[in-house]
Amino acid sequence: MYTALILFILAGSIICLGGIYYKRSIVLGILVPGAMLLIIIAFLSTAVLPYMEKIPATDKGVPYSERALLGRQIYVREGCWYCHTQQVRPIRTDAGLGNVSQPGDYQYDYPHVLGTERTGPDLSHLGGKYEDDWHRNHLMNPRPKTPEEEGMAGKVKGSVMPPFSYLSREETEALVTYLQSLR
Amino acid sequence: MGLLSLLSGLCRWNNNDEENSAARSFILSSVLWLAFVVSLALILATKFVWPDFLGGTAWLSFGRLRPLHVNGALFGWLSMSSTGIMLYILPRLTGVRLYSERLGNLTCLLWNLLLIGASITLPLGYTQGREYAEFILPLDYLFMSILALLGYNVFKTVARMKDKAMYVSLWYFLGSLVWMPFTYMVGNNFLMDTTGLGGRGPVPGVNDAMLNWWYGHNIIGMWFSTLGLGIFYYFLPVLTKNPLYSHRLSLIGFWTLAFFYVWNGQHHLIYGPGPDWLEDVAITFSVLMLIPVFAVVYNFFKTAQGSWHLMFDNSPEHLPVRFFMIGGLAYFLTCTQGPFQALKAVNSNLHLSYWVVAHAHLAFLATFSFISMASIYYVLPRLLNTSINLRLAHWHFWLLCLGLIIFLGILHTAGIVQGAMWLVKLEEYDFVTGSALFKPAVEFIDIVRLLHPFYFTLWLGAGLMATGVMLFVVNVLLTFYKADSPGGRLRSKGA
Ligand code: HEC
Ligand code: HEM
Ligand code: HEM
Repeated sequence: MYTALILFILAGSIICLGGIYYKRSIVLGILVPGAMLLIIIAFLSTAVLPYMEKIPATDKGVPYSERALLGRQIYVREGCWYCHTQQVRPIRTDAGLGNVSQPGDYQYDYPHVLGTERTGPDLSHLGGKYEDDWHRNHLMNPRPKTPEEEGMAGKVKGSVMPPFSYLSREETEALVTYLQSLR
Repeated sequence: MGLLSLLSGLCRWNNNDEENSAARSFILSSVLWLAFVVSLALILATKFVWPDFLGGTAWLSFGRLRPLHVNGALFGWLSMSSTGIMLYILPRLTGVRLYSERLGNLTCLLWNLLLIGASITLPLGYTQGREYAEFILPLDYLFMSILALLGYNVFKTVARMKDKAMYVSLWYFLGSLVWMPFTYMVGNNFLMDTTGLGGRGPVPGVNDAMLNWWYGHNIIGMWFSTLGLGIFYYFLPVLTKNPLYSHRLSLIGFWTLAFFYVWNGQHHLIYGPGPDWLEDVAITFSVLMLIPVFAVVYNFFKTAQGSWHLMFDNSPEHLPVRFFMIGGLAYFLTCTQGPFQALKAVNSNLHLSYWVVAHAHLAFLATFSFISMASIYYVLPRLLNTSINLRLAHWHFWLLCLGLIIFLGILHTAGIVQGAMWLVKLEEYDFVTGSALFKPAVEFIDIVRLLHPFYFTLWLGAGLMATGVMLFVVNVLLTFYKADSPGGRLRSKGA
């Protein structure tokens, strides 16, 4: 794999130098495919090579139940993943959030919901942390769970999570099942 | 009424073979989309302060408007304005007319349809659920056809060019159009629709994340940056009134960017579940990105030397200069910030925080939107043979800058605060195994509480920015209106 990587980098360098030294439009026919080749080379190295790696199975990477899958779709649809991550990194910042995420954990996650922002807490190991009812109420309106508090300079507000009161009963139930299945 | 006449004007232009008419349609449409996405942004910022604001309505909820803001800003405003300006520049660099204005206008019409489609489907919850790739499959196909039409038009134009040295802008444009379809195809999982899917997919979740960020990164580098830099290189000598410092350097910048950029995708998932070697490759190439970046930045500073005073010149002729210079400076900031935050030690503190959102707006708003705005202020008077309202433009500039300083300042600080708070741990020693257990010392909700003053300041900044941007939109629309009214005259030949 590393040989392939090095060969790819060499090929890229040659195209790159060609591009720098020839600047007349005559060579367009050669250089435009060359530019295309550059992106394909990098694609092969950074997207296809990793795909060849075997992913060891883990306890977390198990299929979801029918209802949890439905809940997962709602999770994706409502954009919960813009505010919540589902990845625990092996660094001090994430210490105490639960087991570090392994590639195998995501075997049945498609589309992935790793997330890019922690406006809300990480949900990788949420299952079992609260009762189902807690989730129902929290989704209906997150504010009562985190009421305003008296701070040093007056009242301090709580959660910024949006209310999901518009979800139908089944949708909420499915979502809660999904949340509880995250172990 | 004004809007109606604008729309009818747009339709008229959409079946138009006049020189520069495609550029005009694109610029007009992009500005309308800008107004739309900035209103959405204001709603989003408001929701951070008052989370129940518009909360009980499905199609106005945060998770549904956010993708519309992001995709609308990127594919509506930025892509369309850059394309419009590219279509204006092309004939001037190649010395031949655009291959087909009519095709260009058709492309613009389809592009508007794409965004209208997205504005309906995204709030209704139809999404592919992957960042920057939220458009559902039919829209993806539509976008691919748009790119094909645009590419055909541009390549046909360039092919007619007599043998001349290629100015670097042309390389950037051709590069974008070659790379973008491939990038888009990979990122949007063609043939494997994710809408309504869940669970076991064609690729495991980890690989899906890698593909997503391969795409999310390259659409930035091989489309927005390259289009923006092509425009940047065209206007650099034009606006500073100096010859370009070095053509060789500009080409080094282009080809090293073409080479290095695509390897960076994994720096969005540092310490994530993907392979470690890939992260190391991505970080190495992120640092190597300093080469193309400084090729551009050095060229910029060397060419702009002696022309900085034009920024403070209040004459209409030099109006675009201040936007342009800020754009150049912001490019310098973004792209020094980028390699820095890709380093593992830094990334472990700033990843997942608002720092990244700040970086995104520094790049897209302060850099490329400013370059687009500068170009529009330069291009419009020449295309429409009228003048821009200078007072409005100055208000636009100062409100936007002030808002940006607040917005970016507060987001960067919030990111640092978040990173620091997450880092605070309680240590418990397990004397049996001799290992230490770490637990978060600050409850998550207390971090949220801590951020409330930041959210409020963010909202103020967002308000100022939105006002500034709206003034820009009004100004452009007024310019169009003036040119279209009986008093003004749309010239059939561009300047
Ligand atoms: C605007 C960002 C945002 C969005 C969108 C969002 N959340 Fe949250 N979420 C938060 C914040 C902030 C908290 C922490 C405060 C609290 O508990 O309400 C939180 C907390 C939670 C918690 C409690 C976690 C714990 O460990 O205490 C759950 C469960 C949760 N969210 C689920 C969801 C689900 C399900 C969705 C989508 C339907 C969602 N969130 C959408 C911001 C968000
Ligand atoms: C040398 C150039 C650059 C480098 C090395 C770089 C590096 C990075 C890194 C490491 C991240 C991930 C941060 C994190 O999640 O922790 C990031 C995010 C981002 N960058 Fe850059 N960047 C560069 C230039 C740019 C430019 C020019 C743009 C826009 C045109 C841009 C737009 C973004 C966006 C939008 C994100 C956020 C992605 C998300 O999480 O949603 N970057 N960048
Ligand atoms: C008045 C102007 C703007 C305001 C107030 C604004 C505000 C916001 C807000 C509140 C978010 C959500 C952040 C979060 O989820 O935590 C966001 C995300 C984003 N916006 Fe804007 N925005 C503005 C203009 C723009 C423009 C013009 C562009 C692009 C050309 C843009 C591109 C983005 C991107 C790419 C993201 C996603 C960032 C990420 O995932 O890291 N925005 N914006």
